[in-house]
Amino acid sequence: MTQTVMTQTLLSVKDLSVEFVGHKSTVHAVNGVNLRVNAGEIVGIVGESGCGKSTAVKGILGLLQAPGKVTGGSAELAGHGDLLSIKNKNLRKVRGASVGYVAQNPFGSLNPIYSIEEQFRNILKAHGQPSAKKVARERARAMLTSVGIAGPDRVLDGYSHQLSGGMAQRVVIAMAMLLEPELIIADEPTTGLDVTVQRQILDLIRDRVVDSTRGILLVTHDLGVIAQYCHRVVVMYAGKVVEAGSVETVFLNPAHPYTSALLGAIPRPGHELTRLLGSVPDLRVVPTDCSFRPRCKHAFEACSVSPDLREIAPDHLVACHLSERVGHGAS
Amino acid sequence: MVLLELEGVSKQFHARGGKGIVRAVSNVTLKINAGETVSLIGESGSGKSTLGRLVLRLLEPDEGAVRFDGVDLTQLSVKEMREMRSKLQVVFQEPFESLNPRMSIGDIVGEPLIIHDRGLNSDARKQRVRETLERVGLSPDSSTRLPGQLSGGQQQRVGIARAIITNPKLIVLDEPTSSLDLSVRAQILSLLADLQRELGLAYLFISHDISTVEYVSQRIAVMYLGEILETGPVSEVIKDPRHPYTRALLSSRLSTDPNESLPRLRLIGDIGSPTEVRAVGCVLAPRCPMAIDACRSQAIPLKEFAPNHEVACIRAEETSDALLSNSISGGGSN
Repeated sequence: MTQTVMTQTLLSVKDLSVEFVGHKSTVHAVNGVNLRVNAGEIVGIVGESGCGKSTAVKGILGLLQAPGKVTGGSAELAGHGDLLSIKNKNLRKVRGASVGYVAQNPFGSLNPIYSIEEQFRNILKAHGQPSAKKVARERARAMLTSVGIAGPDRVLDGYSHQLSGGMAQRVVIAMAMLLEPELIIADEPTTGLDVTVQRQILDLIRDRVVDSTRGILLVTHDLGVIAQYCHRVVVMYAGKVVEAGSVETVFLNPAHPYTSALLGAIPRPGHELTRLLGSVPDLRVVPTDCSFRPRCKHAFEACSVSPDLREIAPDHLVACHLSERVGHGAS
Repeated sequence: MVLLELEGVSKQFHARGGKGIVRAVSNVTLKINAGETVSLIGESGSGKSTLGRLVLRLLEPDEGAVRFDGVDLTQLSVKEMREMRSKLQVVFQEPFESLNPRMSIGDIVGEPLIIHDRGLNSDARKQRVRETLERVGLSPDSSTRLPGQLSGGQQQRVGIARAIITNPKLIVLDEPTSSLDLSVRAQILSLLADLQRELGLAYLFISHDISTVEYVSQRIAVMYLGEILETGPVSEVIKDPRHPYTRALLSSRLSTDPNESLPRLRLIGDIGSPTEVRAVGCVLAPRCPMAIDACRSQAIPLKEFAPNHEVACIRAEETSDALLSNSISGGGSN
């Protein structure tokens, strides 16, 4: 990829916060997340379950269900303004047309009582595009072919339950791409699929982006997916971004102990597995100290104050006091 | 010393609606030595879990023998089999699904002792439960809690505690870490390795994750549509895969080193249906870019390629990335 194509910012998320307000307590699921996706780029969000990856993405898309609520921040989509302040009716026009969404479970995204063809047509109808049967079918068929489905007619005439997991996910991706959105947000699109199918699906997604003006935000907990398919990575922990940067920088020179621990937890023959003990903290309390402190083997006095995300090298952001002490970067 | 020996084991199911037969496991022969980990690897639908269930006799094989410690399990009466099960345990993929949500952790972990160690009084049983919980890294206090109050990793530790409390020799681990987060997966894999060392356990490890398999096992068996296509020492099979299917499966691995890109080999189309009426030849032939006429006209048995390394491919000697790379890019099926 060339640097020149990547300069245009497609999505810029600033200070995004999401809360789930309950009767007795409030869960601060996402706390001031910043990230951006440039044209021609695949950006990965990685972290353990419960770190707020999916919640952040749903917040951006306006898909949070009560009691979940975006409580602050902005998400600027190039040419459309702040998604978080667009009224619901207009947001529906943006979603699908300008931002495509692929969820983890394809069967949850497909309606079991409509044929696949009808669901493609409904997308066109909802966006005021020509949706006569013949036109719609032709577009759907072309899109299914482009995602590697060899027998599109059989799929179009059928229903979701007749599809395998891999085929269903291809159909959902085809639907997300039907209106040629600039940005696709994919939340664990290949989790639960076989490895062979996983690569086919990821190749498909990548082919849509490379050398184009489009971009992808990919949520995953699979570090291999990030390493092989993403340009930049955002590591989330306890609702916050703890490290961000180019995949090469972050994977080869991780600066946050959490990132190192995740990378060390991948089984490799002959290597001792990093034992990252404990679990993601309770997000009902907003900690004043670093939220990784209880699990961090490097924790020291300064960690009693929550660290800010700082740039320690060009395009390498880290929220850790250790990076100040070691002294590589700004300090 | 051979602990488990499968010989010519087959299992068929009738497809729903009475149409067709699913050949879930066909003519599988496999050995596991005491204290060893053998992994079964393959895509969904390859028959890995069915084979695990046949070993435990949770399913009755149609053909073949399952010898455990020299005894053919298929010949045992229900009562004899029940006694045997104390030596043969299982841990399932979904920890929560496999724990009774209304039973306390202590009762879950202690239940096998009620069946297998009747002489034990309740105090002695509680003591064993406490010891076992500690052994798997859970606090003995957790015995009063319910499965729903534990995290996924803790639930899986309970599943492991339940499996080891009867002092088994073999544990079938059916995707024990697939539903767990990365950091938790590492904890469970370390625990399983510790237990194996301390208790001399043998594992039949069922997984679709190559990096996990490479880490935990001494030997692997690669399954596809109910058949073992390649088996051998893990280092050898992963370094020099001889079956085109193994090679394709390994090439779908995603390295976590962004600068390392592994060669890509793709099979044609998707995994075939086990209900299809198959010709005599190799099960992979319809998808294999290396297939020649001879692959479709004769049965292809496992053949020794190197000591302990067996491959069911007539072109095993020739298998190379170059031969495979002229494959048609994968995609949908018809």
